[in-house]
Amino acid sequence: MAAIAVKIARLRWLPCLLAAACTARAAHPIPIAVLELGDREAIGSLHADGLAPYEVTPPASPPAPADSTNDAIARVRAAYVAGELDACANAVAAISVEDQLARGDRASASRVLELGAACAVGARDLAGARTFADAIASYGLEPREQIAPDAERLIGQAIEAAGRAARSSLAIHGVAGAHVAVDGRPDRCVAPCELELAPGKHVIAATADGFAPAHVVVRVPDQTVVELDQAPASALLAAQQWRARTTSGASPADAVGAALVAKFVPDRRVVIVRGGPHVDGELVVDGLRVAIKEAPRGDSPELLRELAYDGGVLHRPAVWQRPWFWIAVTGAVVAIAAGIVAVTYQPRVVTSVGL
Amino acid sequence: MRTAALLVVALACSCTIHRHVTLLLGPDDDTLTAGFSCLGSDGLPLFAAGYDAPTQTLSFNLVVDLVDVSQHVPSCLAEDIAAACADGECQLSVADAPTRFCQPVSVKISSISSAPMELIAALQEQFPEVISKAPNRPVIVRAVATLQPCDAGIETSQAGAWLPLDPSMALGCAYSCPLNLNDADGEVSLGLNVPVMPSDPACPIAVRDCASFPIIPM
Repeated sequence: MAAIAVKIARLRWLPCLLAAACTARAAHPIPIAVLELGDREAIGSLHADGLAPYEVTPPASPPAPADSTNDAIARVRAAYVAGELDACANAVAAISVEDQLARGDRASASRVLELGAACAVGARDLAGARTFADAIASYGLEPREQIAPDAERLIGQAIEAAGRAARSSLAIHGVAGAHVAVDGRPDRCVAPCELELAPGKHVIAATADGFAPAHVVVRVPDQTVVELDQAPASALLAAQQWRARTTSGASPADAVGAALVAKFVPDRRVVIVRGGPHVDGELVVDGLRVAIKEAPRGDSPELLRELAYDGGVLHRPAVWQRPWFWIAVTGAVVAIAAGIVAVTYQPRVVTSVGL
Repeated sequence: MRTAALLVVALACSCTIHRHVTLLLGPDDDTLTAGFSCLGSDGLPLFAAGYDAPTQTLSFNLVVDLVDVSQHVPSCLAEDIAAACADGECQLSVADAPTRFCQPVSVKISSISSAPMELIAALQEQFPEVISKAPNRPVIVRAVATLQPCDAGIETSQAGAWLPLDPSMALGCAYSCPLNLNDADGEVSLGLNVPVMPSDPACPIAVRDCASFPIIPM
């Protein structure tokens, strides 16, 4: 009996062999991208059997270009004040009021158009001045520049005429769910939609997550339908949009978030892990969220495995392939054996006999 | 791991129960059985053959055997024992006692009246252990006081059994009921299973029959 016990004691490799045999492993670790959010300490290590997780970060936004609008407007105003009317007209022509309105900068657009009208009035170009005044009226801008009374009067007449004119309908088509801005006024409707607009020029702009912003200039009532063609967002833009969404509290892997992630992460499998009181994880495969899990702080490896099982990235091992199964079986066998021994064991009796 | 293995071994060893059985040469601790106090035809105790009057010393050899009763375990009745052993299955087992217990006994007897007590006290003092490890099966324990010397004749085995003793040299004999000594923690009485008084003429015959086992006189 002692010899058997010593032999068993020498089998130190046996537990290792059992553990290796009972744990399901992928032939090769599957690479999986991980986006970490929130408390990094709560997330901890990301090592997980069968997976090769690697951390990715959204591409950083390039520095915003210097805004030259104010400089351009200052040049226009300087030319106007100096009486250099040709230079004023040229400076106004160099500025895209439509772009300003598409960006939502109605104040700048108003100043450029007012100065343009004033310069045209000064140059005796009444037709040109009226064009600027009509644009101010149709865009619904509010004059704010100090200009010549004649020019002010012309603009006032245009606004009054536009106010009296009948509205016309414009049907707007584009990416479903895109937010539509009109003449720099945001969120006028959600595409597809229809708006009643004053006659004249209008700038119709659309923004949607996953797409590049787009705008068109239409003339009402000449046009009754407009199609906004938004190009798919670049990786950089998608990352900016995703970051803006998560910062504002939106789910990082809802339908839109998952689609954005798929645009800026090159791997088709992405796990988004958010550290906090718990560790929340969402698995995105090919732009769709396929699994969502929660784990205690620091238990990211288990979280990753469970997400991979639920999302079909890894095959969940059969019951008999799980270590706890064999631990339970071994425990049951030991308990049964101990019970049998306890019930049936008869201690050895050594009896001596004397007188 | 090695420590655990040693622990298992230690536990196994510690699970051995040690017991001791004391053989009483009579119904109780103070009384000798008729088998050890028979009177011969001359009216003297059979033990007188071993008594040296000048030195007042009683000398004999004590032989203790275990009789293997084989598969058929008889009752205590002599008739049953004789019937069970008639087929020769009962043996003075060598396996149970590889060395036959045969020891010389020398007891100073101060007076005839106190002889039984002095004999019992001397035997208890000299032989606290006659068998170190009893077999775990039913046996009959037999104790014989004999003038037969503890020599090669007694120590000889044949076909796995000790040779029978010479009944004519027996001074006393007693035996137990068939029992498993492992189940008898305490005292076991030896005696003669025939209703004889020491003065009964049948007493010496019963002693010789007892000592001649396993040869059963019919």
